[in-house]
Amino acid sequence: MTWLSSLFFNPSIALVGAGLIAVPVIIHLINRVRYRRVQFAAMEFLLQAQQRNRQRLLIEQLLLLLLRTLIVLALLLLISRLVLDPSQFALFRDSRTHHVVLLDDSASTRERRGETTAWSEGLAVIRKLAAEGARRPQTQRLTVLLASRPNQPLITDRDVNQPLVEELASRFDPASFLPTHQRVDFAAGLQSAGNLLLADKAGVRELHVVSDFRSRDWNDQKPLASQIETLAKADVSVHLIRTTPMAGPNLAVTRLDGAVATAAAGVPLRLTTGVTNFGTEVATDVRASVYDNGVKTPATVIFDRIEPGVEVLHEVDLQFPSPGRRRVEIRLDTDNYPVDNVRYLSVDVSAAIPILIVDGDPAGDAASYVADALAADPAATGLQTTIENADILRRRPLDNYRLIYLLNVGELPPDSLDYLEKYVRRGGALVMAVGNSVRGDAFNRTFHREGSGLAPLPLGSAPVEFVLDVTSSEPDLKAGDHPAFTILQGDDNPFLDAVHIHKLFEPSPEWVSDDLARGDSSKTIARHKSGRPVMIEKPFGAGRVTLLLTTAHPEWNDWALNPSYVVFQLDLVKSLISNGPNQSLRIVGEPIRLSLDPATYTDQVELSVPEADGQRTLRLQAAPQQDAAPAATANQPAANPADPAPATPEASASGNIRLVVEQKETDTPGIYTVRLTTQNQISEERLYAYNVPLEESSLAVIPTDSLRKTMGNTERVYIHEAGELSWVEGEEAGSEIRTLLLAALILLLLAEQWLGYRLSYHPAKGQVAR
Amino acid sequence: MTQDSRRFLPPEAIARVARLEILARNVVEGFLNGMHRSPYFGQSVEFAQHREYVSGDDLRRIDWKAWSKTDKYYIKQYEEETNLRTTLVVDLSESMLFGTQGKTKHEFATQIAAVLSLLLLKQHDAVSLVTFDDQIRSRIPMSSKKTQLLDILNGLASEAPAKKTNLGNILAQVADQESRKGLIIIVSDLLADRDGLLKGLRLLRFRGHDVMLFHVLDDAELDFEFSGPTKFEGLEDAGELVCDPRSLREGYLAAMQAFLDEIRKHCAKFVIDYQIVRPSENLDAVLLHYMNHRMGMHQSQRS
Repeated sequence: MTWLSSLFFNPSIALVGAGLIAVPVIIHLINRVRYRRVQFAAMEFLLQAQQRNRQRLLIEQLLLLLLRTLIVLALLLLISRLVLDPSQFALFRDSRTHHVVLLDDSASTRERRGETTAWSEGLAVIRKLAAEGARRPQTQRLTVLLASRPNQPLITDRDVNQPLVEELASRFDPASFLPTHQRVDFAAGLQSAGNLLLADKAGVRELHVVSDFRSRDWNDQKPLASQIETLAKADVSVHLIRTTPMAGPNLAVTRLDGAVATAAAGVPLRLTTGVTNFGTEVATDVRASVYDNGVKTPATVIFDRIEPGVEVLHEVDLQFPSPGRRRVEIRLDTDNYPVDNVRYLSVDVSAAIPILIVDGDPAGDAASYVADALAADPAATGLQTTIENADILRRRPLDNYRLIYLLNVGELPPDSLDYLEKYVRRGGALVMAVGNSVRGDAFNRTFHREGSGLAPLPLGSAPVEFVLDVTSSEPDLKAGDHPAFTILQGDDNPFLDAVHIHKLFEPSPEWVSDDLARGDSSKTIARHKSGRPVMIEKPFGAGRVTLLLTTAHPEWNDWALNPSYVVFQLDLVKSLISNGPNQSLRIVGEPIRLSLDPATYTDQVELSVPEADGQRTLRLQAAPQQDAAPAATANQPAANPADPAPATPEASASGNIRLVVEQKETDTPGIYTVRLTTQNQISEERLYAYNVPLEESSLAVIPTDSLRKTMGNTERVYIHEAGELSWVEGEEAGSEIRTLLLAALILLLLAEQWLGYRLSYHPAKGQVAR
Repeated sequence: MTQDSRRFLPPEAIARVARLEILARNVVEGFLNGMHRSPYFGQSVEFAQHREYVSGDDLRRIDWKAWSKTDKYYIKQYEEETNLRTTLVVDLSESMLFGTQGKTKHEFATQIAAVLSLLLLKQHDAVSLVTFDDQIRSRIPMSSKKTQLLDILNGLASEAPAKKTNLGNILAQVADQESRKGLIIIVSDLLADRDGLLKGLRLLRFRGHDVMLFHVLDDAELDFEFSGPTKFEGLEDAGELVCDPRSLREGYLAAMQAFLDEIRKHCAKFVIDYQIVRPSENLDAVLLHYMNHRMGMHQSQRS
């Protein structure tokens, strides 16, 4: 029976039917025994005919018998379903089987095709598996894992029976049970599923990977193939079940950003919007609407033509009349994959951006040059400059400033220096410029300190002067690749070429000028034509320090008299303030973790979560927790110096105890609003823009051939096309030979009829012997 | 009429025979003397024609009246009217027991013999009967008495078919016993030794007998429309065979056709009336067909 089971879908029919093969022979033998007796006179002629045709008759009769036997055999093979490849047998046989389903619940499964989605199809597959399994109760077990959280099975090792089928029908209803908006990690999913299956030593083990099989996730993914191969080698049958046959056209908003850190009320904020055509045909006249706090703005971004696979960028200026937190979104018309038709951005609009300018020489005019460059008209730039002497560093909290200029300051008192370093370390931006008040030794001792200080390099003993060479056409200043020089670079912009530098502090001789050879994190962003550095930048903690080795005013150079100076200073401010990724711009699934100073905030946190039909408000209570890794909080939004949440030196009065609250459910894209309450009962609001991962917009489906190629020639790995569920019932088993058998049967029947007709006698009408 | 006579001469057959007689008269001189034209010219009462005397003619046949008128010698020729001596030779071998249409060949053969006897006796012709298998089973001597029919019917009924056929020998005996020329009517299925049969027929013709051959064959023998597994058990110890008759039909019919062709050819060669008759056919149709055939043959002979 075992060997029959490996050859036939219906082995019992095969076994019973094997006897039927003998039927033609038996009928023949019965006919030999059970005959009609006829007393006949003209035996002479009958015997004569028999004598003459004996050999031919024997061969023809044997041939006919053989044909009839073969017909019965072919019928038997068809009914009992001969299967050449035993692996094609139905999933559900009488042996104990553990089915583990790894269900892809990534955002791309939301793509709609006609009346269904890949997600609905995936759920249908599971329901079908359960329904088929329930026909053999007590033998089948089912575990269902979601690829987004494979360590938390939806269904764990349950017996597949009718109650489970009914439970799945209600739980796995695609109208109420929805996939995530996230990308999923199939490697982790396969690992979890594999662990479950490999731990189960008893019975047959089947892994069903139910996914839309997007190319980005599966094409040439050797690690996944390796995991699957490992499982297959451990006698686990792996079924890769496709839930969508092909990708439809898709337009996605793939970019919405800008220098939001410098957003100020009344100052136009330039945002970059990008739409990518993930389809295979050109998209024309694509219109994107811009919304501000849910209200559609007059601005509409029109993309005339987007080639397949191309992202087209457009810039749009938004002006916010008043300070506050704004929810900006850009929307395309809804298509079959609406998830990526909208992109969110939160903008914290300031009344003005405070910038502190500290001038080491009160009599000097360096600060005024910088202040004029930044905020000759504060309403136009949104920057608000304050000029002070170095003493302010110890008198005022520096976190109120978004950027600090330190001009012509050769040294600082230790406490001032400490505040300044902490300010930068927490993410503050500092621009330093030398001048006549700067002495190399003192500067190095204060600011460099063998590399541990703020200065990117140690200064030499004295500045070097250059003689004006009128015969040379080579520009003194050579700008490097830096956002502050983006506008000024290029042949069409000769302003920088007109800058002359005649005095410049040299680095100390032991300092290596070449960035690569030096190997530290500082970067030269502008050089003198002699090769000496003019401007160098260095990250310091979470902040950044830029050092100008000449004066900021026209004493050692004439840059401040050049039109490019204003552009440079404004872009430098933008690049420094917008340093690093926008912390409030996030990908769905990333948790919101707040670490609050209990001295400032109460433990009551209100969270407004976007939902499909509006907002849902959650009230959370922050729990006190020992802050074990203060540095880690630097990556949190609260680390922004302008943010009231961070643990400033002043706010650490309560020791290392922090109020921690975490919201992990951030799957829905949109703007998440956190409302904090200060100890003074003042409400503070923070916005987090959550968007769908860009990768999920690429809907291209891996072709079956490529998927098979990726999986290699691993045995026990089966790929099932979308919409085909017959394999669950084993309907596909033997299909490759079924057609052959049918054809053979038809041929045999035709041959039998022909031979039978030929062997019997069919006289023309009325033809008799006379 | 006895049971047997009823068996061999069914009332409807008698009625048909009566009609046949009228029909035969209308056809004019048949093969029966008195009512049917004789194939021979001889001394008889009915003048036929004059012929000029040639040397060697019998002087007694000279028509002197014609000589007196024309001064030439003419011979008077008459149509001969003779009493036909008919011998019915009926096969009673075992093979004649075969039949599929509710009637065996034997029954049909005896019916033919009885009907012909009646027909002949009604014309006051002499009839004798010989039944045989491997030897002569019974013999009814030649007679034209009215009681002859009963004797013949009894002769037909006296022997049941049982044994093999030996036609050659039988025909030779008949030829020897019938010294006077006459009509020999053979009713048989001819399933016997071929050489002996042909030899016997040839001998009868050599002895000057007119020979009529009724070849009685059943539809099943001629058409062989058997189907399904069948065991054929040969009559007259002809062996047996289990076969699918459909597969052998072609060969059988070919062999049968060859046999019939051979008989037909031989009969044509020795001017023997030959007719295949089937028990499924009506007797009168058989006789009518036979008489037409017979007349045609004598006319052609005369000319």
